[in-house]
Amino acid sequence: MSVTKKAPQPSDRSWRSLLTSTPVRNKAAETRRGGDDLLSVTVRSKKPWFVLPPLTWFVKPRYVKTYTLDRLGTEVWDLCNGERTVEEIVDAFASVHRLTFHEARASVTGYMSELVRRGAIAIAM
Amino acid sequence: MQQWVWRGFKMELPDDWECLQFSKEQKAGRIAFADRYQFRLEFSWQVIGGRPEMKRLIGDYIAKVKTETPEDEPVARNVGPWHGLKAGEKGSTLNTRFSRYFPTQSCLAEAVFLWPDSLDAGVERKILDSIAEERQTLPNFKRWKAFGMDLLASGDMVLEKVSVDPAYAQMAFSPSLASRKEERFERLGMVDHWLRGTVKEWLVRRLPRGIEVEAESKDTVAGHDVESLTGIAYYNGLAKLLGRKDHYEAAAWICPRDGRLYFARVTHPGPPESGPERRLAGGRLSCCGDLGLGT
Repeated sequence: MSVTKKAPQPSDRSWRSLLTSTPVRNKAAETRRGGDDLLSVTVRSKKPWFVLPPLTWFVKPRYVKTYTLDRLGTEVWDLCNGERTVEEIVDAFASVHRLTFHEARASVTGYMSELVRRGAIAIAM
Repeated sequence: MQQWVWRGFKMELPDDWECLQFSKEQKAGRIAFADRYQFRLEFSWQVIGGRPEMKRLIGDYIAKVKTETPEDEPVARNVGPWHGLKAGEKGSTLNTRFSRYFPTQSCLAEAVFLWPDSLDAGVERKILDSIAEERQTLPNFKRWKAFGMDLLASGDMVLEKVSVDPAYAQMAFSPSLASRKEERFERLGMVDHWLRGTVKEWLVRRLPRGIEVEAESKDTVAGHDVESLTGIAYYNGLAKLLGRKDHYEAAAWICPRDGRLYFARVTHPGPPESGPERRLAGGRLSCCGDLGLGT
């Protein structure tokens, strides 16, 4: 215990609020399951501000993006049914893959942040 | 409760607490554990010159906390040989912190608990009672028990590298960066997602470049199918003329209990030594009680 400076203390911030939040799929996202059971998610994106005539006279941009999820990403997507909390999804993922809670949490939240970034899901706090 | 052995200290912790932060430094460092919602325990160590006067140390510290954060209302709290305080009853998160001097290692250890709901004196006592210096049962080895591995590293080695990712943990030991001697232990999960072929084929793929395999074997040790191989690394140039070569031993197996793949490898300049503690599976690395160290 240091008396010369304030002793270090582990962060007392809880991540409970993140775990009790619920991921919700983007209703506008379209999904297609391939032959290998991998999921393709198509998400509509906003029209960029610079896509205006006369550019659009020559180029017809598509405002959609399609991502193919890997096996684990597909599993996470399947678990995001709008009812399960992040904690429940982590527990389910941990149980299937025989991982500890925090191993599964790190994997699941990694996939989720990617899905959020791509507009495929949103997190309801 | 689960046991951890880290940097010569052993401790018993609740089963659902996981290590999320660690340092490998010998002189001063910390290791922090969290339950699923937040950090619960930080254990830190610092090598110091001699035994400190604990009562004065704690008294000074309480006075300091009273000055800096009076709302925390610190009060002295001792548990067995641990001297400490309780603070944060009304201010920040309720926490208790304890210090104890371990003379064998000349080390001042500190345990800081966070109690988000209420102080569980039983858990606090159990953990503090369990914190002790790990006695070396085998003279030339140091035990580490962390991230699902229970292992013996050579006594002259220091922990050089720790990598922890989901479904992957690695601890590597070496006397120094320049040394050719190295011991590495790994634990890999989600095996059915990445293992193509057999464990033996994987073990061969993990061979460092330049190793010439001398022998391969397959044994069943306490219900674990262990693939092993030994080899020799030859050198080129002057080192070759001087007859310099390294011995390489490696073993891998999938533990039937947790389904994870365990891997141990040792590289050393001298010839392999014999003895049960020299065997990698169950001698140097253990995955579960069935294949405990010394099996």
